[in-house]
Amino acid sequence: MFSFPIQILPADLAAETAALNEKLTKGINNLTNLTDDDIDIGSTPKDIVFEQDGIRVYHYHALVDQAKIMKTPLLIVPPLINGYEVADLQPDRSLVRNLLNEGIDVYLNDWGYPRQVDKYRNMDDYLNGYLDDTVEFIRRQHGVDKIALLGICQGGAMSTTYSALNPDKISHLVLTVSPIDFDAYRANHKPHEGLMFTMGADADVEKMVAVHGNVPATVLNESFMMASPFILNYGKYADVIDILDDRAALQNFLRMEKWLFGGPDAVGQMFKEFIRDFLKGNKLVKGTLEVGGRKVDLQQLTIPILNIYAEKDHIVPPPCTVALGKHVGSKDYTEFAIATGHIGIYTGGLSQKVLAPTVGKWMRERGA
Amino acid sequence: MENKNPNEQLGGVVNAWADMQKRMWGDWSALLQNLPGGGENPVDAVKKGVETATRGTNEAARMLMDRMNSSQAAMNRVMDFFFKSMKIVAPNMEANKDWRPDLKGFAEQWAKESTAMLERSFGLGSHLGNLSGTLSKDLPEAMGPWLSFLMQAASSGHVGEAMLGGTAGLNRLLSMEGDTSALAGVGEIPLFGASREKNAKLLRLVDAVVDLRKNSLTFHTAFAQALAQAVEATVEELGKVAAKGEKITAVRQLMGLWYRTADKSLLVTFNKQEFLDKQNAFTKAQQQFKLAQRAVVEDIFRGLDMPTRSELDEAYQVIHELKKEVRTLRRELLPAAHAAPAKASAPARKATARAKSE
Repeated sequence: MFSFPIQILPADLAAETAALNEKLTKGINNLTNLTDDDIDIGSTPKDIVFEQDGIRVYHYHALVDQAKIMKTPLLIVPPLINGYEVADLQPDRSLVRNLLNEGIDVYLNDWGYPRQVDKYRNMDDYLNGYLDDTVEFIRRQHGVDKIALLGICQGGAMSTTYSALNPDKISHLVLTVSPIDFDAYRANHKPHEGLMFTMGADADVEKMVAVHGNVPATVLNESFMMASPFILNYGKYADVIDILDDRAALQNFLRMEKWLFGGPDAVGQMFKEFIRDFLKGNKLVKGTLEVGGRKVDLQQLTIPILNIYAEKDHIVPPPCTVALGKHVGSKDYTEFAIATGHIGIYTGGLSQKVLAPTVGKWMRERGA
Repeated sequence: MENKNPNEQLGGVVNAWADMQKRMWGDWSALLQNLPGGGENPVDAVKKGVETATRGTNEAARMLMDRMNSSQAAMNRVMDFFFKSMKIVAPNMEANKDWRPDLKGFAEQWAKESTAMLERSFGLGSHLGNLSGTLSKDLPEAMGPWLSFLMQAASSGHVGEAMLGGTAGLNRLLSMEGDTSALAGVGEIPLFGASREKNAKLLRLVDAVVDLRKNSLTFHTAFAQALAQAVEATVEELGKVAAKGEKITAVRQLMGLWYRTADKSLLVTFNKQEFLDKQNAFTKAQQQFKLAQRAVVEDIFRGLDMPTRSELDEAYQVIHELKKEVRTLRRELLPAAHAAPAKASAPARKATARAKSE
């Protein structure tokens, strides 16, 4: 016979409650004294250098001497379904800032917040239109033939596609947690991996877009949260009590919340095409993808490629990312793993020390 | 001293849990007693207090309070369910008896009760009776109830809720609350016009509502079963804790175990095709309902000379095509600006951090 393991004694409870109360009492002051300016995200100094239909191109201010800046500019391509600030959440957790410190001249495409009037934008508009216009702008600004691309998640799939369509304009391709083969996770499937892909594969996206126009960010958020509903809905907010009395930690938490729940809606037509062609059709790796009437051939990707993935990524499982290596024509293809998760690769402590230095070294070694 | 009676022990934990919640939120409330809302219940008072103290200065704090409040209320219901399950299991564990049959019985009973509750709250029979009665009446003068119904019905279910910008739906789902409001306004649908075409649209909407109710019930029942399995998995984990001679001595430790185990168990269910099919059927029914609803609403709008969604969509499509044409023309007319790799300067303006919500 064993003893039932729940043995919460009244004295322990009283102590637990008292400790929580103390944290709450201190925490309420922090919470009410913080202003919006204290919860700033995307704060690295930058200029808007190009703008079109609400899509902005940022050019970040250099953080090192001009002489140390690489000649090849790098354009960061964020996903369409999340805010760009994941790459620049706060000064001490910022991929952008770390890249600048590596001597990289950084640009970023902020896709903005689409409105209903934008719902007919499609893959052709985004890749052959807006992204190409940005690349052209940067080439012209710098007087160079080619620039480097760094894709974030969905932005990585878009960057890969764009680079395959425009091998004459891109010199280096860096991918971070980017989905390429949407079926690759199924072989040794673990329940916590790729739930969004599994759910998306069955979703009636045509109808979803017919109903909403643009798919609300809240729908996408809820899909993310289904991967860990209790912890993300309750556990996280129970745990936040522990940091309410720590102003800096609370600010960090609120910045992440702001980014997480402040994302843009997904443009209807683009979302439909992305789910249909990439997620359901897996056309990028099957070689059947067409954008604007042009066939996308990954064998055309002969430039240096650095493919970075997160070992604990359950949103884009690593097999979906590293599958790229089998399909590209490049002889200079490198994979790099970081022991973190899908978001942690941009905001985690380990990544701050590893991600940008790896990109910087890789680019320098390849004459950027 | 260790309490050997599991029922007393759990009863004590449940009472302490409730007391803990009351005291925690009560202290917040007392701290904010000088702010508006101080006289209300602790949770609402805290929420209003923070809203007042941060108005215009801190959107993130207000959002956090909203999430903490909504998750706290749902969390209490979830913990209540969990404690009830534990009361079934504990005496068996203590007596070294197989606890699974009793838990299975409890889970089945609970799923049955939840389903019955949902059936009652969905009120298929009585609401449809009201609806058919209402359809034979004249067009009500006020549009208010109708629009209110649209809002309520569209927010049924966690996906529908999310579509309106909230996350409370997921909380309701996790705590197995029935959604009683979805059909509440159907009886107030105005009958406008007597043409066959318009009546057909109304009937299609009714079909969609009935279909949505059925699929919602099926989905929520499946979710109830998934939660019961999560309890079973948690009991297994408690067994492992006991086998190692370890104890759980804090409420938050217990919550942590339940959340981690439940999430793991739910993920297994979420990946099963059978569950995915039910979830998709529910989502599709929601979408079909929205489309049927739109068809009816557009008739009303046309009657009031107001632009409809379909008409706006046509305009959006034209705007999209025109913008594309402008971009193409710009490239053709100004090839140098787009293609020539020449050094050029561009007007730059300072970009600010996204400090305030845009």
